[in-house]
Amino acid sequence: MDSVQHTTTTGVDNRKMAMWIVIASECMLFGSLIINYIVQAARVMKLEGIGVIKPSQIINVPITSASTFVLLMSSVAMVFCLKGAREGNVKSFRTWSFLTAGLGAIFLGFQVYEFTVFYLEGLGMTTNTFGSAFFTLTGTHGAHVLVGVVILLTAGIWSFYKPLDKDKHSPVIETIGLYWHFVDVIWILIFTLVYLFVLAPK
Amino acid sequence: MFYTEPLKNLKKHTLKFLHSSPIFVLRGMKVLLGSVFFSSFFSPLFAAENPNLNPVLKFFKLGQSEYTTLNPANQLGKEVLDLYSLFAWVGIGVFCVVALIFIVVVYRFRETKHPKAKDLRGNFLLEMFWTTVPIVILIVIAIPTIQIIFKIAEVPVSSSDGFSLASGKQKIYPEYLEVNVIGHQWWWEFEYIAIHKWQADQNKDTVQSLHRVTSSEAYFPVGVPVKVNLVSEDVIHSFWLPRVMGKTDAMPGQVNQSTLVFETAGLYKGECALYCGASHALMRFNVVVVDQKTFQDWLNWGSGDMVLTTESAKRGAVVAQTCVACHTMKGVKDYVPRSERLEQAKIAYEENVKLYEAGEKAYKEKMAQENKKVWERQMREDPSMPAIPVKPSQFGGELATIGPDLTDIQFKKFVVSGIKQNTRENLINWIKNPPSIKPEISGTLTVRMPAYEHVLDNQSIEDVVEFLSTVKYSKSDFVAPVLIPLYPTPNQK
Amino acid sequence: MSEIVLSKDQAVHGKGLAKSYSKSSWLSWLVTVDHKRIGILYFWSAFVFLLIGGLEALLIRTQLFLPENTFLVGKSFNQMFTMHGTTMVFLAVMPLNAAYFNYIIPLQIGARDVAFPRLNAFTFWIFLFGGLFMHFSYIIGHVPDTAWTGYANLTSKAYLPSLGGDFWTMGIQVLGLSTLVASFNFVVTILNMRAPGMTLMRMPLFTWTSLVTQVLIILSFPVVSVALAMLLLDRVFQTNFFNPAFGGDVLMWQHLFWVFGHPEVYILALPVMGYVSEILATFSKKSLFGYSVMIVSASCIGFLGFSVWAHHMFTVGMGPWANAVFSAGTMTIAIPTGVKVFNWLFTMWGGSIRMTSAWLYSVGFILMFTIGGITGVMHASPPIDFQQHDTYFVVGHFHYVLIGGSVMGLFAAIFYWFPKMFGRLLNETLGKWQFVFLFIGMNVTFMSFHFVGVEGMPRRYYYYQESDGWTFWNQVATIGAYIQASAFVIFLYNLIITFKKPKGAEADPWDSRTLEWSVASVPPEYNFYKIPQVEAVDDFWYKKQKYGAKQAIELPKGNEVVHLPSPSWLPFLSSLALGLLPIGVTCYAYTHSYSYLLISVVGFVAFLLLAIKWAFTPVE
Repeated sequence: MDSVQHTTTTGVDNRKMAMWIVIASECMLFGSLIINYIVQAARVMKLEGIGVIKPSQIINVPITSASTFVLLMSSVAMVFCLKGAREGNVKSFRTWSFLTAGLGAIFLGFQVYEFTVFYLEGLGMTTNTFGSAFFTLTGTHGAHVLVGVVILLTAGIWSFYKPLDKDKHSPVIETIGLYWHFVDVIWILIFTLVYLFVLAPK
Repeated sequence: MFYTEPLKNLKKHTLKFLHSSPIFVLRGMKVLLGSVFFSSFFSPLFAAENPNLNPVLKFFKLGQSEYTTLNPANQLGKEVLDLYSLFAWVGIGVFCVVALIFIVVVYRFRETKHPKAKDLRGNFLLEMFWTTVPIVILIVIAIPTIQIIFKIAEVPVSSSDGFSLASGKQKIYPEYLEVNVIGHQWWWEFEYIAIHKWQADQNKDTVQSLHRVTSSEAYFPVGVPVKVNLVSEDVIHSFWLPRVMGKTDAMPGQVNQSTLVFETAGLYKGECALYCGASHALMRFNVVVVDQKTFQDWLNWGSGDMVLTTESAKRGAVVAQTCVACHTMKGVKDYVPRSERLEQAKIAYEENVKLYEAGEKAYKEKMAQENKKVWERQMREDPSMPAIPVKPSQFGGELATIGPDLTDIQFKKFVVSGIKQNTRENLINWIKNPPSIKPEISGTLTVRMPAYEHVLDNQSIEDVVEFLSTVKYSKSDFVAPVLIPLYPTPNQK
Repeated sequence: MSEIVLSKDQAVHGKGLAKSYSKSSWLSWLVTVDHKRIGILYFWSAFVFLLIGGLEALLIRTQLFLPENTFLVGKSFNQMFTMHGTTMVFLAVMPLNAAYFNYIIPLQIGARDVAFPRLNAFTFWIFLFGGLFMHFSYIIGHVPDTAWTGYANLTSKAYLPSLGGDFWTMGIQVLGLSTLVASFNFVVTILNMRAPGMTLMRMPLFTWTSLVTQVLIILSFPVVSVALAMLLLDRVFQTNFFNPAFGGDVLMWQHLFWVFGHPEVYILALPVMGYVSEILATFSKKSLFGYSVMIVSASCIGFLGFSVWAHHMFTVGMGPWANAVFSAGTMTIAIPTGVKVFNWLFTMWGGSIRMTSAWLYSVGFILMFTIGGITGVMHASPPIDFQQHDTYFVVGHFHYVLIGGSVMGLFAAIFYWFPKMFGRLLNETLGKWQFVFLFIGMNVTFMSFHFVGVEGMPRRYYYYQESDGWTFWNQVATIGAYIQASAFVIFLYNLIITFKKPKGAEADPWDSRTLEWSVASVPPEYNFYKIPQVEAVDDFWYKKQKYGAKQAIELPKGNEVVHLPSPSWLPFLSSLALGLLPIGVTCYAYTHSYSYLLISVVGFVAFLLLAIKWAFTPVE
């Protein structure tokens, strides 16, 4: 995606600046979802009743820690991918972009597994407000990861068909990297607030 | 002569002004008219003792509605009105300053008079001035604001020799009344919970439970604070008695508390002030404030057995058995207090949980059936079908209050959520065809009461109205007070 | 990039699908990526929606003319005030502002187009889709009756079961997306595409207030997106976010909505403050008073606007401490606003005032916005607000700031920039008469609203009785509404006779100060022959003083090569694809048959494929 002008007043590439702004916007998006989750989960935690599924009963911290690790590694892979793009090394760029996308896909696999387990244990989107809030928050995050995976795969596949020009394309890869790191940071926040808080003493 | 010179100049300048650019004159006149119009509106400062006598308000037809905010009936209301007057004066002042600067600037620097522009770009002192002066003004108006915020938020608390509405005027009350005010679509329910009395010798308060419910027209005692617990059974409503207190929202899932203090006896009109659906505009209520004796008699109404004197009333009592599918009435079907309904709801919930534990399938089937009922009910558009409230309600489920309590309907000044005068004719028309009074063009959930003209014949309806209007109870003795209207208003039909 | 060689009369050649469409064919409007054409598209669409919203207002006022009137009752009335509010906020005022963001900002900063031209076109088409989608509800009879604030839990399926609520939820979601994406575009444009020499402190004030507005949009629209998504899930997929019976929280909607809603009203007002600043400076023949103070105060208003949302919720029972904090915050916003008012007045001090229609509307804005601000400060005090909240007093307040403020400011902008956009000047006499009618009508109606609100009439009431004592002022208000309507009729007549005239306005009919006036009226597609080198604030005025009027206005000369974005089908097709999502969900909501969700899936996949094609199609 090009924009018309190449020299910019601030010196920052148009697309990169746009991505920073998108990130600001997404902060508010995830912020609202997180606040909603905290409020709803706190309420459900206070409920008494045998059938109520609470976060402490269903959230599996070890498995999610593993998936968090995978996502963090994908960010590392993204760094190498950008390095490859900056050096103009097509093979490196391609490999690392597929690796990043792959690790992201593995993370998504973990999410799908987790969601399925929760559903089979009785927690669906409509079961209680904890379920609604949880699935909305993590689902939105998962959708963002999916978009990132698609973009990375597209970039990797494209590199088979067109030459990689390190000056022209590095800003684009950097922008994608920015998005990917942001998605990762949001996950760290979600992981802390949703999963690690379950471990807190009452 | 020297003293006529200024006058001649004045005449010259005035004529020049009037003959100058017509658009400017028009503009200036508009601004002046606007200021007059605008400032006379800000005249609650005149709303002192009896706004009916104030000629300015009278001229602008203000202060004459029974819902007016310019005629508060208690001390706190008067303080709020004074605060409003303060803001109003400040507002007038600000607008006059702005308008004055505007008029001067436009007059002095219009093109015909001032063809060459000076390139003034800013002035630090001026900026400082018009930044700090508003800050000072805002601080001045914020201080009483915050004081009154805390005064309004008070509920009666026990103190050394009574109940006080802490802070402010330290008035100690020997007792207060606690009432649940429950908003429904589209009527208000008043459930009298308790009278809290202070026992000086035992140094604690005693709670005398009450078992009394009414709708749309509540009686309160004069001089006794009334603590209202506001809640809703369905959507958010807002409880507003303009002459008594500001509004507080009645929400499902949260209880808001507020204190009403009535200092004079009389009829106070209230309304719902938050959009709650089709009949939001038709959800009025009234509060009748009476002396203690009358209030006790009113509280007592309904105790004892039903006493029916005419044949028509006796036939009506039989017809009323169909009414209590939704309504409650002492002697026919007593109401279930909200606290009990919550208990029942808890039990029902636990049953659901057991079902869930027993096996998901049975639970899912039951939930699917409930959902299907809701869906079918909501898609049905025939107003003559009885409305079955299958809304998921934690407030009693099947026991949720559907229709108002009718025990004391004969004493009400207004029926149908405070809209219509209490006459036989109005009651008959309402029972026959509620949508004609709480209308809707299409769609469901307008008024829950079906049109009984399809179900009952005219005689039955007349009988049931006779029953409602003449029923007596063996241990009750109440005579409705004669209510003198606040303002003489055209007869409400 | 498509390369053009500039000569006096020349045509622009584009590459790709759209190359066969000449500029004058209607198809060229579907594929345009020119910010000026997109601005004109926004302008006319928003204007039509403004008229529709006005019609809805007249219907409301006609019902309220008589007590116990049966003209428009119950649910139909509720639908009318819902659509009036929603249309006016999201489909009239915001897109009219967007029309000027699109048309004027690149010209004012000395750019040839915005940063992402195809994205720009996309935001228009998705906006148009959103507006049409919401109004489609009229055709099938399921009109939203949620009120423009859509409070839960009234808006849940249990209480408002018709499809109207779904149309409303998804319609606003789509419109929000349009505005949000456009804001990304404008921020990057303003920060990154300024002409050389144009530092931030040399930008015209409209560009500055637009920048603050875009930042507000970026931070507030995602919040309402979340709220709307939760409401949609509640309504269509049986979640219980806002259903207290199953643990949901009714207040959550209010908080989320108003965290968006309060910055939204500044989004409506700030661009208008920008117009007024420039118009007053132009027609006083001098620069704006306190340029940097105006910028700082606009930024303060934007920043503080995020901290005061709960002043819409004083009555929900948050407690006296919360009420006190939000009250204090709300009163604080009065300070930068007051500073701006005085700066505008002193802009005219020492100047030479030409009282054109644009000027009249600008000063009308100042005075009416002041009145609206004063009643706003009254609302900022909870004890007073407990008596005023949800009454006609509030309706009076926000109509003063919206019609007396935003609409008057927009008319000022329309009259001011009409020659630039359409090459003709609107008739001044008609403009002044229109102003008179609008000003009088507006004050008659909305001052009456204050009166009837003080008398205790709540808002959203379709019914009142003679004994309520509200009849007189309701009738006066209705008469005022018809007076305002006649102002719009005069404006329509003005438009008709103006478009009958041939294009011929000079480049700088008002002797203005900013760069957009240095190019021909109806600028060429490439905006500037040569990107200007900016030397001062109000650069055009500075150059006129320095080099004389004639030299400062550029004329097209030969043989400068510029690069312009090519027209493209992608924005239009992408918005069609994305539009399938709400259509699918609506069909599912009506029939509860999962197969209709396939429409949404198809739309989403098509959008994804088009997005990929978009990413790999360079913008040439």
